[in-house]
Amino acid sequence: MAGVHVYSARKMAEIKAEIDEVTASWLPRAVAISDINFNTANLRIIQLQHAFVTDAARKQKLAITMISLLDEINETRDTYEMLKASSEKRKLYSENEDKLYSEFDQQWDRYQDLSLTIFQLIRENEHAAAVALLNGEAQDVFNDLSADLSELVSINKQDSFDAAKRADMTYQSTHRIMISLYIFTLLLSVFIAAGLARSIIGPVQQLQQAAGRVAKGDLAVRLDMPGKDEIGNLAQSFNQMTASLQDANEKTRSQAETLEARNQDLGRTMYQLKRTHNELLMKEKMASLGDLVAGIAHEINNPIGVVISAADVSMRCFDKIESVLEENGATEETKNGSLFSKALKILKDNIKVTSLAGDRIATIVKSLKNFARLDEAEYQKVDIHEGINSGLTLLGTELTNRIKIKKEYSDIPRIECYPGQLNQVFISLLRNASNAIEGSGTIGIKTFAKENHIHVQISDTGKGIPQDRLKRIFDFGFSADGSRVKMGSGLTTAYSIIQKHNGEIKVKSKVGKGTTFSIALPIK
Amino acid sequence: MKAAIVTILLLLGWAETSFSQVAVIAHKSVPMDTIKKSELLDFYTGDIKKWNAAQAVVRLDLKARSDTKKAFYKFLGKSPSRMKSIWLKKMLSGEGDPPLSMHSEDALLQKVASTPGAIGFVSQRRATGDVKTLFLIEKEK
Repeated sequence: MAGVHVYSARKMAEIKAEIDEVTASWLPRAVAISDINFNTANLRIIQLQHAFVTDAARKQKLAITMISLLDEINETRDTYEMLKASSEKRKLYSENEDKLYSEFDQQWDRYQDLSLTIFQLIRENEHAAAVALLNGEAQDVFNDLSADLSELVSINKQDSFDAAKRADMTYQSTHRIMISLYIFTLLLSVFIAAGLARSIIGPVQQLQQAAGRVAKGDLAVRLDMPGKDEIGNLAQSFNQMTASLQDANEKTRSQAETLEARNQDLGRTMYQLKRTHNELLMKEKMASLGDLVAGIAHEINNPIGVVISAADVSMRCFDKIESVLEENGATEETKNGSLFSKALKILKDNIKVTSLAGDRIATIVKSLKNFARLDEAEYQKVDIHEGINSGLTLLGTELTNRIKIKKEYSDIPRIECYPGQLNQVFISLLRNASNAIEGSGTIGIKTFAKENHIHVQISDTGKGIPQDRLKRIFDFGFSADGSRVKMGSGLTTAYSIIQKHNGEIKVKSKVGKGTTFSIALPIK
Repeated sequence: MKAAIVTILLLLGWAETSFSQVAVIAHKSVPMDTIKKSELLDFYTGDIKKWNAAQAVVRLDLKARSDTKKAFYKFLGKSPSRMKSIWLKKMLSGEGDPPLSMHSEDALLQKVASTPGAIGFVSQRRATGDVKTLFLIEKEK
């Protein structure tokens, strides 16, 4: 573009020079010569008038006009000669013009010479001679000088035209070349732009795409731009960045994995801790309950033993009294229907009731002791039917008459377990079953052995558990609404106890039909 | 031999002409012994017409074109045609006549020698003791 402007400026200067030539030399010279031509012609016309006019005043007036014309001619000649001098310096003045002008000068000199003679003749009143000279030799000389002037004018005009034409041609060619140059520059620009696009935009696009991939998480992306320029440096920086990102990402991921694993560990630990805590709590509770039960059982056992033996002694004493009465025969006071006999009967019944109640108390205490297994070693082989029966006994009042117990006990082997804990499971499940049944219903207890496991199924005909609750029923802290699961974490504890025994506890339920808990425990 | 001498003389003569000067001459009676360019111009244009109160200036010119005439008018700074314009104006305005035109330098010389107050110009070699040489103009080759 700059080249175009330099070129155009240079050409414009050329055109200006051509135009200057015309305006500064040829044109004004042509004008000057034209003026000289016009004024010499005027002078000659007036000279002729002057020759014929006789009136002195008129003659005088014409003379003055001629003087001013001569002045004008000389001034114009001064102008022309000045232009000539400057044009000669610039070599814009041809030899031909020089020759013509000096010819004119000589002819003009000659004409003025003749004019001087003519004016002298006129002054001497020799008009005829003056007119003759004016129309003769002067006429010829004037024609010559006039011809010279005309040719000068035409030469200058031609030169002007030529210069103008040259200027025009220069302009035209400049115009063409400029347009060509502009087109060339435009094409060059397009070419350069294309080159730039290839060398800059291409890599930049590549970079952009790569950045896009990085943004989407593809950190393996690398740019292959080995240049030492800015783009190359940029690509190198980009590669370093993605490499660092990848490293950082790897590190973060492995850290995240470690963290995740630790979190899971922590979760497990927390869970175990909670469970252990729970178990500890339960154990503690059970221990204190056990102490309490042991104390109560012990305290009750002695008086109950006394009551039972006293009842027994009382019964045998009564039997003795009755046999003595029968041997001695009935008296009026001892006859059937007498007050005495009635008293004896009440006494006998009371002894029986006392005996039965004592037995019952003894059984409950025994169940209580059995349930808590306080008096036994922790881990031992037991018949789980005992535990189930103890549970049923303890739940006696809860079951009352509304629930029918349907036992389907099979001949199952004794298993090694923590009986106290298993009993807790059974009582939890039995209480759940009992609570699930509104009004009357049946609790089924089925035991059987299969594949090195003993199985215990406790089912009820209760209202059932909805599916969504079923999933979380063994979760820690689960507490269903009061109507179904009153024990709170009871089932969770049951679950953890069964887990501890390497067993399995499952639940199946249908709303409105009932629930079945199935327990499988390894025989050994 | 004669021809050779003539040739040499001619060559010398030519050489003399080539490097000669134009003499501004005047009648012996004129009151000036030298003349300055401006005074000479004033005389020839006709602006000054008298040497002094008593003596009028009689100007003389050469009719034909010659190196002498060319050198003289060039010295004055006026071409013959320009000078004639001035004379024409003077004549038309009634201020005076143009100089007398002489047909040859000899004729001019004689006229200067014989006319009191006369002034003219000739080649220096032609100037004689009959006239007063007021100024010498270097003639160009």
